[in-house]
This record gives sequence, C-alpha cells and structure tokens, in this order.
Amino acid sequence: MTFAQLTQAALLGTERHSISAPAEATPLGDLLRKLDYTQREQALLSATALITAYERSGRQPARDTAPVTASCPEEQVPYAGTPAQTLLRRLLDGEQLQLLPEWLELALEAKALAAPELLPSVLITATSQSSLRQSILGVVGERGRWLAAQNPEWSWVGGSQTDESIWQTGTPAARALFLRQARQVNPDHALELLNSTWKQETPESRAAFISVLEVGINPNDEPFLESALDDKRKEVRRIAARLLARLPGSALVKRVTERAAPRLTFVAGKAGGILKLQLGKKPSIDVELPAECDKAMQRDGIEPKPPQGIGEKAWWLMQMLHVVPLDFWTKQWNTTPEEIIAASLLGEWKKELLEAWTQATVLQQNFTWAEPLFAFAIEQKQVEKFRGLLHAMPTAVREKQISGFLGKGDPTMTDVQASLLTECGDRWSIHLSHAVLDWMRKLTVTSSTDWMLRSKLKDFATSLHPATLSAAAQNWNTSQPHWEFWSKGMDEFLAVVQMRSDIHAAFSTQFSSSKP
Amino acid sequence: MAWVVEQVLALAPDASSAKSGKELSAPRKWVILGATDQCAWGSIQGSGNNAYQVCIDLSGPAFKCTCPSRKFPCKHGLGLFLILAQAPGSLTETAPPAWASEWLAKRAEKEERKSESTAPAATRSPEEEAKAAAAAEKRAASRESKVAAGLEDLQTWLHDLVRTGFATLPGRPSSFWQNPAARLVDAQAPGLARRVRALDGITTTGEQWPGNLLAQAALLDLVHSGWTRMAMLPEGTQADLRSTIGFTLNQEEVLALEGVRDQWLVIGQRIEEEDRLRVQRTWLFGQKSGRPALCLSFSAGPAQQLDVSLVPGATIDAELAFFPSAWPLRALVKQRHGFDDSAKMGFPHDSIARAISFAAEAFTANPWLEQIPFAFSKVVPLRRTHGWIIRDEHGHFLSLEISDLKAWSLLAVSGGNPVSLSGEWNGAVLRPLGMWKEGSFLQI
Repeated sequence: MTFAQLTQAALLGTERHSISAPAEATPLGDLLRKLDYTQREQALLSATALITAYERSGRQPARDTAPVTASCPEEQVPYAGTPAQTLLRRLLDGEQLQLLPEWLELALEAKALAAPELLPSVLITATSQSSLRQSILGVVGERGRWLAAQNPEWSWVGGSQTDESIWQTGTPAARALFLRQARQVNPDHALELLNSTWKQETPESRAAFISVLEVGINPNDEPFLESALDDKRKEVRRIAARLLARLPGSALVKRVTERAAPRLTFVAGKAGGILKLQLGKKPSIDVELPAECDKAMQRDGIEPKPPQGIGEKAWWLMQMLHVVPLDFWTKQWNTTPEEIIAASLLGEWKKELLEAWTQATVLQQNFTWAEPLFAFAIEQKQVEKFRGLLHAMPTAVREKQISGFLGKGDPTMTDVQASLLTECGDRWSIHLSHAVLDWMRKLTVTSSTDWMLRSKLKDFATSLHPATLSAAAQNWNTSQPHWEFWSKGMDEFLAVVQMRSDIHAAFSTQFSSSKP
Repeated sequence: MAWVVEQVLALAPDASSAKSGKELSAPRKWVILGATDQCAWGSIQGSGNNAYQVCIDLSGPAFKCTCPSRKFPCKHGLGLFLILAQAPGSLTETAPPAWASEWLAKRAEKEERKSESTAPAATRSPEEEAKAAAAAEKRAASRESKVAAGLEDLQTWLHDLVRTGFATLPGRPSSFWQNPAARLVDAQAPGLARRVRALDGITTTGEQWPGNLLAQAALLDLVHSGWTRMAMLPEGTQADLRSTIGFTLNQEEVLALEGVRDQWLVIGQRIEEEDRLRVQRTWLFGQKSGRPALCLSFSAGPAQQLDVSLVPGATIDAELAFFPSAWPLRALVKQRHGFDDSAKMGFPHDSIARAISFAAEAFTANPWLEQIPFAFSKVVPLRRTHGWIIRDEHGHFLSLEISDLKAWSLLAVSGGNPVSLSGEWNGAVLRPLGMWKEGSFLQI
C-alpha cells in the first residue's frame, strides 16, 4: 500500500473506490492490517496517518548529483565601507535612485566594490536601466561576474572587461556594451573589430553597433561609414549619414556643401545716399529652394518627407543647411555670424533659416554662432524656444549665460530660468551652483503658487557641485511665511542634499576594507 | 552590540511607521541627540510648538516618547534608533538629561520587582475562593464538551470529504472551507479552525495538492482519535493534542516550571499575518544543550508591539521555561541575563542527514508539528532547474522555499562556498531565516 494509492482513492472518493488491507509482511503492513476496512472513510484516513508517520520517521535525504559550480574567484579590489554600502542599499530600495550614478562614479574612483548581498539588486537595476550598465561593471567585481554568469538575464555582464572573446561569443547586449567600452579606449581597434564581423551581423545588430560608433567618432571612421551609406537597412544608412555629417572633412559634407552653396546668395547692403534721397538697404539672403530630392541627396541623409507644418522643398534645404559647416558661409560671404543672422531676418524664409542655423549650431557644436543666436533669442524673448543652443556652448560660456540670466531679478521669468537650468547639464561648476543657490534663496522668500517650479527644485539638488553641498544645507529662511508653500519642494531638495553629502562623506573617509 | 538598519526597521509596527521613521532619521531634524552604552536619547520638534522627548533603553530595546502616537515604537523612536545605527557620531551628548535617567531608573526598578517572587494575589475569603474555583471548573467542563462535539462534527465533515472524493473540490467556493472553520471557532477549538481555514485554496497549490490535502485531513482526523483515547496517551502527547486543538496554558503556570539555562543563539525570526493577527516566531538553539526553542509573540494591531528583545543573530544568556510536550519546543523566557557575544557559535546540524533524523524524531513524537528549526554549520546554496537547494559535503540536498531575489543574494554572499544557514523545515521544504558569513548574521 503506498501513499500514492491512498491519494488516488481519496481523489475518486471512497463511495466509488475502496481500499483493501495490504499484503506485505512488514511491521507497517501488520499495523495497517489492524484497521477495519469496512469503515471505508476511517480506514483511508487512519491508513494515511500511519503511512505519513512512517515516511516522516524513516525519511532519508536525497542526493544531488548535478555538478557543483566552482566557487567565485578572489576579488582583486576591496569592498566599500559599511556607510557606503548602507547608502547603496537605500538607493537600490528606491530612495533617491537618481543618485545611484553618483555613488557608482565615486566607487569607481575609489576602486571599491558593492557588497555581495547587494549584487543581485545592483544587477537587476542595471538590467532594466541600461544606461547604468557600464558604471555597474566596475563595482560588481569578480563575484558579480561569477554571479551574472549563472543567470541568462544578466548575460550583458559578460566575462572580464578586457576579454575580447565577448565580441565573438557574447549576447548582442554584451557585445554592444563591449564595443562601446572599446571605442572609448581605442576607436580604431574597435572599428576593426566591427568591420571583421560586419558582413555576418543581422540587420538589427548592424543598426545597434553602428550607432555605438558615435562614441569616439573621428575621420578614420569615414571609409566604413561611407560604405554603410549603401547598406540594405534604412536605419543603418540613416545613422551612417548622421555620423558622417559630424565629420567636417568628410566627402559627404563636401557633397552637401556643393549642392547647398548655390541655393543661398548673400545680397550685400547698400549704404544710404547723401540727403537720404536714396534709402539704404540692409543686407539680405536670397533663397532658391532645391527642385528635387534625388537619390544622391537621399543617400547623403536628406529625408524626402517633411514634418508637419514645413514645406517639402524648404525641408530639404533646411536639412542641407544642418550639414553644411557654418564656417563655410562666413568664409564664402566674408561676413560674421551676426551679420548672417541679421540678414536672415529679412525675407520670407526667416523662420526656416533661423531654425536651420539653430539646429546646425547645435549639431556642429559651433559656439561662435551659439552666442549671437542666443543673444537674439533673449532679445526676442524667445529663450525657451532656443534653449537647445546652450548645448552648443562650451561649459564655461553656457554657465556664464545662465548665471547672467538668473541674475535678472525678473519674477515673471522664474519658470524660464528653471527650464534653462535643466538644460545646463548634470554637473554644475562651483560658480553656477552658488548662483543657483542665491537665486533659490531669493525665490523661496517670495509668494508663489507655482507648484511645477517647486517640484523641479529637487532636481537642482542633484546638479550642485559637491563642494557646495554643505552651503546648500544651511541658512534657509524657514521662519518666514512663504516657506510654507516652498517647504514641500525644499524638504525634498534638502533630503537630496543630505544624501549626496552622506555619499561623498562615505567615500572620502578612509574606508575599512572588508576582507575581499 | 551594534545595531544594523535592517534590525531597526524590523521593529516598525507597519510600513508607514518605517517610512516616517526613515524621514526622521536625519540628524538635522533633532534638537538634542546623545547616547551612552545603555541608552540613547533625543529631542525633536513636533508639529506645533512642542518638542518631543524620546529615549531608548538599549538593553531591551524599549522605547519612550512623549508624542501622542499610539503606535509602538512610534516614528520618533524609530528615527532616533536609525540615527544610532547609521550615524552614531551625531549622538553628541554624553550625559543623559533628567527625564531620560528618570525613566531608565523606573525601568530598572520594574525589572527587579518582576524577578522577585510575585506578590500574593489579593486575599479572598474561603467562600470567595471556592466560588471562583467552582466557576472556573464549570467553564472548563463546558469547553471540554463543546470541543468534543466540535471534533465529532469535524470528523463527520472529513469523512464526507473522502467519501465524495477530492476530484469535485476545485471550484468549490471559499465558504466550503470557512464554514466548518467557523463551527470549530464556535466549538472553542481555534487551533483546528486555523488549520481548516488554511486548506482554503489548497487545490490551486500545484500538482501535489491531493496528497497534501489527504495528509492534512488525516492529521485532523488523528486529533479526533487521540481525543477519544486521551487518558491512555502519554502526558506529552496529551499536551500536544490540547495545544493543537487550541487550548492555551496560563503563562504564569509555564513560568513556574523549572527553567533551562543556556546560551541561546537566536537563529532567526519570521513574522506572519494570520487574519488580523500578526504572529512572530523566534527560533533559538541552546549552545550547550543543542536544544531547540520557539518563542511566540502576537500583535493584534499597530498599538501592540511584538517582542523585540530576542534579536536574530544574537546570543542570549537566559533561562527558558518550556511548554509541556512530547517534543518540547515552545518556550517562554523565564529569566534573562543579557546578551552574550562571547560564546563561540555552534550550529547543531553539521549535515543534512543529521538534520533529517532530528526532524524524524520531532515529527514522530508530535505529528502535528508544522515546522521545526534547522541550523546548519556548512551548506552550499545552489541553483537547479526545479528551484533552489542547499547541499552539504556528503552530497545530500534539501529544497528551499525562497524568493528569487533573496536566493540570488544568498548565492552572492556564499560565493559558491559553504555558509552557515538557518531555516524552518516543514517536512518538505526549508524556508531560510538567516545566514552567517564570517561570524556576522544576515537576515534572509
């Protein structure tokens, strides 16, 4: 009589299926035979109790015969100290998760690892937020790689970071990450690697990998990119064109410039005559739109279909102007950017030209144009619209523009000021940080109902320069009446400031290294 | 002993207290902060004009706060404790203020009085005594007959169950199980009621459900068989039978029994919600005797605090009084002599085979045991296709019941090397409680 037989009888029900005394000549059998099997239900239950007791008492442990994974290799790098680990746990639990990249940066600098019990959480977070993957690789250590090798979801971790065999055998995600790192270290070598397997790659992989070439892009990439302009997959062609446009000396840029040059003519101004009998004429730009968007133009990255609200031919011209180096126009016409901008304002194509110049400035990171365009935007009170220009300026210039703008005590401009700040990148200089803090101190003593602005304050805390954190924690005028409104955003601001201070403090003291 | 953030947060009566406590763990929010080896104190601005005075007696731990919150510990106590765990340097004062030392002195007095012999009960006249005794006897007799009737009813229900067969059970509504459970509550057999309630939903627990249900049904039927033969059973089994039904013993009666003094290692703790009741199981092993012990604590709501004095991973020098049983397990702390970090940690189970035979003894002696503690000195956690296991040096394994995230953490900390591990064994799977890595305890 077995437990399985009894279970079967129970499933069917004793009214349909009866059990009978077992025959085995064992002590258990003897006991079981003592039951009264005419009382079907009781017999079933009692027999079960006996057999269960028997099995529980006599249970033997089973053997696991599968091979045991080797234990993880020794760490070469020590663990971060306990305060840092506690902060990491808080971050991973969701408290101010936006500070995780900063923790990782500091850990990488300090050459310290995340504690073993936190590794799964760390790996899970980076699996879903791929922007964190590269930094995380630096803090998981040998143990993290050992652990990741046992879970297919973490295959992007790959083997050791210097092991090139990932390129041959890794998963697409791991290979993309590897390629990105390789481009940072030695772009030419990385390009060679990509070239070696290019023909065997799937279209999806080609699209993913070619966009990695954005990292460390340089003129040596041109031949590869030029041939990619003829790739079967549209996405690959598009990316190749976009990348070639970033190389001012490339053949693609020359071709587009040749096509675009005849389209615009700078009409020099005429000075007014004596006695004002002849009116002076300001300089202007004559525009001749292209007639068609032929195959050659498309190959060079010009999209035939315009977005909403822009004419087809104007769109083709604008795209060409994005690519033509801005210095070409100043040389060609022997003028300054300011004069070209002023000239663009006259005539029916003012809107299109300004958008084209702005976009070109940002794409080409040309700051000689960025400053005058931005000044124009300020004058026109259209700063919001042109804020992308801030990215074309070098950091120092950008910060100068913004702190200047913040200094204008105009209360109606606060949300513009706030949105410009968010364009100002992740890490502010000490100077800009202090400028922002001063601006915030003035802001928080004024009356307001702008809850959207209030909710942005927390993000500013993330961008402050670390040296300004202790100043940021103090001297807030909390006893004046307007604080009540601002406190909701400011409490969060202060919490972020506190946590960042804690993180910096955790890595700056000499950590006690747990034995790796 | 050093307190860790996780231990502190485990004291929170609910999730919102834990969150509020974390918000108050910023030292800048506190006006005064200080600590000695025995206690920590602080003063914090509350809403409005008053400042709350907060104090923690670290030997308990026990909390005092002047805020009006009914929760225990309140968010101020938690916040102060978190500061102690995370940023002890902020506790700058070294001399306790008057209000803190007064409270601590009162507590010390109370402890002393407790350990002295309990004061005699209010004197009653012999007639009153006789009357009280007679009333108690009447209540007891009434309960016995209610329970007897309830068991008959249960047996009838169980027999019906196996007669009609389990195949018809999937799809039965909840009331099919809740109704007989409610009848058992009426019959004053709450222990049995709980077991019957737990069967609700068993048909959805996987392929093994018919066998599991049959085993549970047989165990319940065994209670009935035992009850009708009560007088013939050994005393320990009688006690187990009554406890399974839900008879409780007076705490004073148990504390009056002889205690077992030992260095008790707290190998783990688990809190489970049952209906509206929170049950905390704390497992201990005596370092000298190798005996297991289970201390239970209950909380019916956020105002009632679970006993936090038995800290997982700590070793406690104490005298435990055990509830009578064929395999004594449940115990009360009779007398406590403090934490003892000095003892070298010994784990009772040096192999899986040994643990299994330990379990065999337990389940044979008390078939109604639901889980027993295991504490291994050296096992390796491994991942297999059917789930997670631990394996010892002889190649034996046990299946783990554990969430994936926790299992990966376990694997990460072990690094493929053997670790010391504790857990609850129910006869089929081990639910891990904690692990030790280089002497420190990590809650799983």
